[in-house]
Amino acid sequence: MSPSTFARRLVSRRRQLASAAVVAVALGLLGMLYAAVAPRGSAATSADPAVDEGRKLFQSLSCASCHGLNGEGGNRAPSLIGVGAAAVDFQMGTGRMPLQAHGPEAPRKRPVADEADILKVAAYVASLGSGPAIPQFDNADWQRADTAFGGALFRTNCAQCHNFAGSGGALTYGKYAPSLSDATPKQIYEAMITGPENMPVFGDKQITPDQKLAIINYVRTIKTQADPGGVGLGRVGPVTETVVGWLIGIGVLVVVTIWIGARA
Amino acid sequence: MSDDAPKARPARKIGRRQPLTAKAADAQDAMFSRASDDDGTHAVPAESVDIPHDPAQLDPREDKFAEWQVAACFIIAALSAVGFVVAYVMIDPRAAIGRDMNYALGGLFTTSLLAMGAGFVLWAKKLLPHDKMVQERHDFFSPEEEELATEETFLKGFREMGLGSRRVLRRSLLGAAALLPIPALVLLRDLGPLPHSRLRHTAWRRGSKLVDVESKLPIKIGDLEIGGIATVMPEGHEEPDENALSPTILIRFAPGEIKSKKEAAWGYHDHVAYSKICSHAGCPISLYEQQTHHLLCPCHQSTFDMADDANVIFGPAARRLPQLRISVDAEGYFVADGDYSQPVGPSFWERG
Repeated sequence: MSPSTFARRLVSRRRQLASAAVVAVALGLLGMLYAAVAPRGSAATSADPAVDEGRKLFQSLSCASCHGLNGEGGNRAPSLIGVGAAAVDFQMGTGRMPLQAHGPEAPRKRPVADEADILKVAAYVASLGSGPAIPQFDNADWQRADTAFGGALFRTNCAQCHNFAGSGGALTYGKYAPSLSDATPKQIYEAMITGPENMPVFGDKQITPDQKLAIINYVRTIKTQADPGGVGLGRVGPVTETVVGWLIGIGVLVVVTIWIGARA
Repeated sequence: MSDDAPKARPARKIGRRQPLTAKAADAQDAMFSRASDDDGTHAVPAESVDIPHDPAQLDPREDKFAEWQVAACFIIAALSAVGFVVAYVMIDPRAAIGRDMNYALGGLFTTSLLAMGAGFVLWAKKLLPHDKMVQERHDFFSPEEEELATEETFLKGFREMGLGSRRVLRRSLLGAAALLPIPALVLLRDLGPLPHSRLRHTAWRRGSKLVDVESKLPIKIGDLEIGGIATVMPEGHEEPDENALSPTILIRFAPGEIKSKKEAAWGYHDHVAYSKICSHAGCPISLYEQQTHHLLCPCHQSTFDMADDANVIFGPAARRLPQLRISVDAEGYFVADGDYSQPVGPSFWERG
């Protein structure tokens, strides 16, 4: 081996070592950079402990099985990014979520979680993207609202589906607008701002918060109103009253008449 | 009871009389052979028909008991009437109207009337003598000679009119009879003013602001959330009662949801306006499902796909809902670009 050949080999080996070192340093830097800017994923923590507890509940209450581990949605359920805390509070507070079975309409049922847990899940979902917050008002607020105007607004915007006495009604293909008799003032408000399922959204610029409180006052007023005669008959007015009058009232008269005739 | 009387009570059919026993039939025949009083009524002796043996009319103790039964009914009726007045005075109507008050007043008055009636029925059944009366009925037809005479008189009169030979009379009579219904038909015109072209136009004009029907405020872009709807009227014609063809539904879709190119072009940034008057029978429609974009008419279940230019997907409606072309003015308020391009609402004779 000539000295020149040896020197070339030495240089060549040095080069190989150097390039390996550069790659190693570069990879190390990249890893550090990634660790610094990468999203935290499920291991992330946030400033608000309720959000962290909410995330755990989101998974343990099986929300994540349909809505995705990070609420991104899937084939069976919509994305929850941007739906806001009000939607969570409404859907879980009325027991509609977690869903019992897929169908045209999610029925109202007993809530699975208690109010504190629902608020935690709501805080977590609200942290995914901005959306309507849970409305804050107390009973005195809606109780002093204008019932008559609330009734006019209700008949224009709500009565077509929910019936003018809030008794609910049928929609297309098995869907229905539920009765409002069990809905709390907060749930009525949340339904208006979030538009659950097929209900249209009635934002605060279209129906102002004061008008929403007036609608709530109307719904609560008719709910607590007495039914003259004792039986409401669905409160749909003269139609049912006439049907009952004809079928039961006149029906009984006819039966009695036949009975008297048969005895004569 | 004779041997040929039915042993068991025959099965009763409504409206069918029980057959008379042979003894009763004989008694009835005997009755008609007797002279009747002025109105043709015969008194039938109780023993000639099967009148049940009534202890109250024979036994003084039963009689006394029946008397007390009747009196008890009347006393209940009297107490209920007094109770009604007491309930009326005692129950606070503001607290109990529709509930306790209705039950108390209605229940007591019902009891009063019912007991009164029951008293009378018991009185008649147990204490009054049980005679049976038979009233003779005559057949309702005329003797044959009378019928023939009437027929002959009618035909004679018809012959004497001479319709066969007097052609002028016959033709003028036919003409008069044919024209007689015309005045009645002409009177139909008075049923109301003619609609002229009013069925073809609404109160929407170029530049009419879309005004919320309830708050009477114009709607700005951004007022509606995605998935929101509003019922709107043209500014200056806000009363739906006076502008029955003008009610319009404004819908905001999410970007990309509108399937029809024409619909998107006639709307403004995912907002579209359609007539709220059903093209079938003219009901106002606003049962809107924001996920399926179905608009359902409550009257006959016509369903329109609002994302596909209000295409009819179910029900009796024959046409899509007409779309109102809208844009936004300099201040950001929604305005109509003009009236609807076709007649709104249900079909009419000359619609074409």
